[in-house]
Amino acid sequence: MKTLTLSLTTLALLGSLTAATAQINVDTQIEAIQTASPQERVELMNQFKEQLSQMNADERTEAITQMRTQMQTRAQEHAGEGQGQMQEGQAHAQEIREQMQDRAQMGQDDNMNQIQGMEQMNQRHGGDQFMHEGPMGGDAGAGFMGGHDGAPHDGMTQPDVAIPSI
Amino acid sequence: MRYILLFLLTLPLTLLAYSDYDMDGVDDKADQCPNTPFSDLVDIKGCTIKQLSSPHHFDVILGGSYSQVDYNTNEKTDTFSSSLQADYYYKNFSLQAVVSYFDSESASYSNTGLNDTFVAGYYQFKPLDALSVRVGAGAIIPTYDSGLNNNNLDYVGIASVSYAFSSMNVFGGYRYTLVNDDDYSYTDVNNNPVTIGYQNTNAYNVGLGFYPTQKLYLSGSYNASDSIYKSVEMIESASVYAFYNINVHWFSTFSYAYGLSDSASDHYASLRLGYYF
Repeated sequence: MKTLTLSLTTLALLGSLTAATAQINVDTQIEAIQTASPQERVELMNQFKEQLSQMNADERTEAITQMRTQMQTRAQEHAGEGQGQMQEGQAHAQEIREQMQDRAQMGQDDNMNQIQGMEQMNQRHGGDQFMHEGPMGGDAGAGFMGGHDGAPHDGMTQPDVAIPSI
Repeated sequence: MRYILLFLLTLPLTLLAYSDYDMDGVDDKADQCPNTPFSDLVDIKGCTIKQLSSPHHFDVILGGSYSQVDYNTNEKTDTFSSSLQADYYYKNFSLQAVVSYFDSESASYSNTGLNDTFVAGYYQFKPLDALSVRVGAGAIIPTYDSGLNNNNLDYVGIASVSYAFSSMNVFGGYRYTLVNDDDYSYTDVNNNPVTIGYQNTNAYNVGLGFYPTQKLYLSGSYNASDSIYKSVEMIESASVYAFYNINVHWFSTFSYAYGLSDSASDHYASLRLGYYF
């Protein structure tokens, strides 16, 4: 039991240590990016992105949020001079927002296709139903699909060959 | 010495004064590619040298829908459908396949089976930041087993545009279907020959959407389409649509359409759940 407790404590400590180390690494990297020369800044930013790509979704979100927060804090500290950094923090959020909007738009297009496809399928189902209820099943009214009883083709285009009242 | 000290004191502020909209580490003033995705590695000019995220993406969408039709010539019918949609995305291109199964019931008639299957390819581009255009071509595979000669592949051309402003957008779409099905002929009870003719269809929609939150999109639209049958009036409906982004992978959509013409479904509702990866 004592060994088990000791092992769990060790694991917990290791976990905390790993998290703290990751935090320090991200902190250090962000600090380095903020103070680097233009050439170094690009290289460090690329390294930071590569590191982000190795993280899982939660760690990545945490690191980006941290960077955004630090950038915004810096920008606020240097208001008037650091406005660009405020934008910097918002750029990734903007990118995510645009991706979501693109997907919503594609969903909207799909929805149009779905509705129009559904209506065409319902017309096909209705055609079969008409043949079942009409010629085979008795009086189905005048016109074919969407016509009006007693007023064949009212409001409709005339068919090449008129479908008779049944 | 005083000037050196002044330079050293102002240097950090100078470094902090830069502006970097796409967060690539390159000052916007020097950035020759000012809108690179965050997942791209860039060179000193700010242009992409390597993409970290895969350009290949997929989604799978499961859906259920209900429609009620009450054509004047038919009994009122309820139809339940389940659908499976799969999409593949590569940069601006995408491929799509949709299969669905239906169950129709009226007082004296019932029918179940596969609906027609839809496959399509799309290309999306943005001539302006706010303007998005999507064009596509597809085919309708006649998997629905009809007694009215639904026997040939139909072809579809699709185009849609969306213009965004503030947190809203206006959109419109056009779809042309080349219906290749053979006309259906039969002899009625009086021995008169009768032909049910198919026609190509034009369909369009226009609408307005907005984003009340970052995760939610709502829209309303008007839809109109020719019938596939020559004798039938235009199908018109008004619809509302909601897209909810649950998280980076999961999303759901809801749609409701109200029929404005006798040839349209009186009511249609659809709920879908998708996974994007």
